[in-house]
Amino acid sequence: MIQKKICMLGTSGVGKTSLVERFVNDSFSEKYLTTVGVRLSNKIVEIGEQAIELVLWDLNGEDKFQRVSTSYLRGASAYFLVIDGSRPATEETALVLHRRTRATIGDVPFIILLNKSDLSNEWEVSQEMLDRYDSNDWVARRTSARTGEGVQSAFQEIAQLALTSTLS
Amino acid sequence: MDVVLLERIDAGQFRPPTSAPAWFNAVFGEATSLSPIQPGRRSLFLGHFLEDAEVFWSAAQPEQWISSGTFNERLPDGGEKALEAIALVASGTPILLIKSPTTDHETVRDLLQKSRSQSIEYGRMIKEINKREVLLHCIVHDLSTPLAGVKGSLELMKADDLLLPDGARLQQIGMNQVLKMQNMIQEILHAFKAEVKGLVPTVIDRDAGPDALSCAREVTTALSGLARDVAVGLRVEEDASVQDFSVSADQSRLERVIFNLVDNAIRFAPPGSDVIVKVRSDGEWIEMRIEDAGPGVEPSLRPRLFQRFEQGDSGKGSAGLGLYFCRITVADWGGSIGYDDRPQGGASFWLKLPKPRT
Ligand SMILES: Nc1nc2c(ncn2[C@@H]2O[C@H](COP(=O)(O)OP(=O)(O)OP(=O)(O)O)[C@@H](O)[C@H]2O)c(=O)[nH]1
Ligand SMILES: [Mg+2]
Repeated sequence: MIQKKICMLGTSGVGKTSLVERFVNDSFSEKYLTTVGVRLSNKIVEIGEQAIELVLWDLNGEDKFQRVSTSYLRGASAYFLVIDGSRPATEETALVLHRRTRATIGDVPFIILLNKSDLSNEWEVSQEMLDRYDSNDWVARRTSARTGEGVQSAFQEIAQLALTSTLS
Repeated sequence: MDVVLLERIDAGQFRPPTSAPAWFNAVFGEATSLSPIQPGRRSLFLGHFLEDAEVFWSAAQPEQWISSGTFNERLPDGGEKALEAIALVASGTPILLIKSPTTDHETVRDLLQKSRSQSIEYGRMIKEINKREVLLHCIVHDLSTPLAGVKGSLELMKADDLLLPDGARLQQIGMNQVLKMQNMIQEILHAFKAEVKGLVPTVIDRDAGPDALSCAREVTTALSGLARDVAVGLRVEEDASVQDFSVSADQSRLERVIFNLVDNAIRFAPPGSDVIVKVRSDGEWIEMRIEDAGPGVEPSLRPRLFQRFEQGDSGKGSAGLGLYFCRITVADWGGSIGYDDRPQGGASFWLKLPKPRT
């Protein structure tokens, strides 16, 4: 079976682990348990007739305490840049990671996840942010690991991207 | 011991360890007989690291080693084990060590957990406090201003003898209700915080006041961290010919007003650009301008910019209530607030504050 490596990138606490948990085990925990180092999970998805095994690399969050090592990026077919929609400052780190990833493994497809969409009172994703993604032709999706909104479809979409990018 | 030493036989193949702890067998499979084991097949992460290790072993010098960094493997009982792999060469033989992470893993983990939780919690708290105080101020302002009007009218009715016999009684009832409401507002304020008690139209000293320039400096210092995080320059520019920047205002609220405007400017400023706070004198006024090189305010939004609950397109930050707060606060002191486009692009918010009477 085809295997595709997908990295979860973002600053700490944006919900990388929670998104993987929701997608792989359909579960969610309110409790915050920070990820130290790397944790791999896998799940099979189907794209049309084809079954693909996604190997999800849940990496530690990048912040002032820890960096994401570039050696973990090698071989990735696609990646998620996860932003916490209730903390617009988390976008900055996502963009730093994006630049570092491109510098390391080149032009690999990615999807921006604006996570925690269930926190509608706290939501601070501006039209300006969305317009900026649009004008760069970046794909951005709203997700909530808590309610599950947008999660399955985002992973389905990245599987599709991972598949087509390496076919060409 | 929590270290397993594996001797490399061939790419991906290792001599089975003579003895191994339970976690090793759980993660990498029970080693049987003398046939080689392939731990990289059981752990995708290790498989990935072994690619690096092969490159390293092919050219390694004695005493050199590389580490995989911490990785987490699931155990059959549902738990997890944090591990680290190290590739090195001993007496010419490539060796793979698999072990618990070097530094006291639990301690590092706990420290990271605490620091991260705290820094997220702190951000949330600041946001909450600001939101609550601004909201509270607006509510109080919106309730107490018209209430003062009602009270005034009732007083006039009585004083001017406009009342029919029954009217006097009704006027008294109305008056009692007004006083009740005013007390209630005081109680709400009291319930929240001692500091915000003074929020109802402030009585300020018209003859002396805080220094607008130091307030601006105070705020830019407080916000310098945020600005640095988003790569925005932040500075104060004052008119050097002016000796005295004092204004007739309340210092902590003036700082909050400036804070709101500068915080907004930083949010909208593109990375690499500058946010500038300009302070100068203009006749009876001290004028302050907060300028950024962001997208500016859309013409369609301007007429309602300083009104309640206007927030651009679900804009960044909580500009809406913030600007409303700024306007009513500055207006209380007899000052004014406004918006201009910057000629070279970007937004310029200005404040005009009355100088103290001399
Ligand atoms: N309301 C809400 N909370 C979420 C969502 N996703 C994650 N969280 C919470 O946010 C916190 C952090 O989630 P994690 O998944 O651990 O974040 P992470 O990005 O893996 O963090 P690090 O491992 O430290 O980098 C936890 O308390 C989660 O419960 C979401 O969609 N909505
Ligand atoms: Mg995590």
